[in-house]
Amino acid sequence: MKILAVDDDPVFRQTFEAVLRMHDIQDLHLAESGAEALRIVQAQEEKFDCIFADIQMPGMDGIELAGTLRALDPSSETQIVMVTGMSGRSSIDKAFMAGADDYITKPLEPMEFKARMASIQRIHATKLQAAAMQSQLNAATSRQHQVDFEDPIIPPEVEGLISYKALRNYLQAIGRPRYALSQRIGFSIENAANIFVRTTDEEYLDILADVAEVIQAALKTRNVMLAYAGSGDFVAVAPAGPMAAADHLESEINATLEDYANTYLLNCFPVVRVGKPARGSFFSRRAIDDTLEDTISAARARVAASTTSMRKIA
Amino acid sequence: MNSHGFGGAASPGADAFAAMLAPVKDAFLVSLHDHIVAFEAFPEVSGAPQADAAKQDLAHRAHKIAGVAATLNYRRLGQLAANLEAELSADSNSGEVRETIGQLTCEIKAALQAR
Repeated sequence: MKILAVDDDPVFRQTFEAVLRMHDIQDLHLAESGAEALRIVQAQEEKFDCIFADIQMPGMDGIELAGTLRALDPSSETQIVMVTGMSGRSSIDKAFMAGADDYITKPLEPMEFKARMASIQRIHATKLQAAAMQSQLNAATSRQHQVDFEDPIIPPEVEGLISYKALRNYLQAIGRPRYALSQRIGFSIENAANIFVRTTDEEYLDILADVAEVIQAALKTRNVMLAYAGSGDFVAVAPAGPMAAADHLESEINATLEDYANTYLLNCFPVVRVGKPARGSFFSRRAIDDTLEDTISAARARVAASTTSMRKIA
Repeated sequence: MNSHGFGGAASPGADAFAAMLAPVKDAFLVSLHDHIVAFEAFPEVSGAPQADAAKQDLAHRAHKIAGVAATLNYRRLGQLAANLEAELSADSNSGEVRETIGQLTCEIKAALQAR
C-alpha cells in the first residue's frame, strides 16, 4: 500500500512512521502541512491508497485538506483517514462531510489502530481485486473490432463463399421460376455474440471461415451458394434435390467442428444450429429478401429451442 | 506484536519496534524542554492581556504531548496533557488549570530525569 501521513508535529510524524513500518507499510510519504500534502499528492504518478491527516493543523487543516482532495479528484478511491485527539472529535462529522472515510484517535492505541489498518488493508485488497477483474473484462470485451457483429463480412479464403448482397442480387437475377426450384437453408452460430466479444476481428473471421467450410462440406453438393448474413448467420441456396435433414446436418457440422475444439480459444468454440430447409413456390409473391429472412429465422428458432432445452436440463 | 502492542503479523517484534522508537523518544523528550518552559511561565501571564494567546499556545502544546506520549509509553504524562488541553479549551478556572499544569510539569521533569 502507498500511504501519505500528514501532521504538523514532527514527533507524531516520526511516531506514526514507526507504527506504520511495524504494519509492513514500506511505501510511506510524510507531509508537515495540508499544503505540502497537496503538493505531494499532485506530484504523484500513482495515487495514494490511503492518506492519514491530522485534523488540527495550522493553515490548511485536515478537514480542508480532505475536502480539497475530494474536489480535485472526485472519482479517486484513495481512502482518507482523519487523525484526531480527543479535542478534535467534535469535528469528525465535518471531516466525513468533507470526504473522509474513517478516523483514528491520538494517541495511537494498538488494538484500535490494528483494527483500522486491517479494515484499510481489506478495502485496499478488495479494490485491487476489483481492478484486476475489470482489467480482465476490458481485455475480453474491448478488443479492437473494426467490424460490427451484424456486418455481413466475407470470411477470407473460403472458396465458394459469397457476400450476402451478392446472394440477394443473384436470387433477384435468376428470376422467380428458378428461385422457386431452389432450396434455402439457414445456419446460425448459437454462441456467435459470445465469440465476437472474446476475439479480435481476425480471430472471429477465422472462426467464421471454419464454420463456412464445414457447412460446405456437410452440404455435399457443388452447386451451393453460401453467404454470411452477419450476426453469426449463414444462408445456403442449393438447387432442388435430395438434401440431408436439418438435424442430421446439424449433428454432422458440430461433430466436425468438435474435432477442432482444441484449436479454439476458451469459450470460442462455435456451435451451429440448422434451420429447416425451405423450398420456393411458384405462387408465392413474397419478396426474396423476406424469404431469406425467413430462412435465417428458422435457424435462429433452432438456437432458441436448443437454448431452452439446455436450460431445462440444467 | 511488540511490547507497545503495535505491529502486524510479520512485525519484527518488541526489540525492533523499541529500536525504531528510540530516536522518536529522544526527540519527544527534547521537545519537552521547550514545553515545560512555557507551562511554568503560565501563572505569571494568566492575568495579563496576553493570557488568551498564552492559553491557546499551551493548549496546542498540551495537544501535541497528548497525541504521542502514550504511544511512547508515557501514559500518565499523556493523560495529564489531555486533561490540560480539555481544561484550557473549556476555559476552566485558572486554579484548576494551574493545578493541572503543576502535575504536568512534575511528570515532565520525572520523564526527563529518567532519560
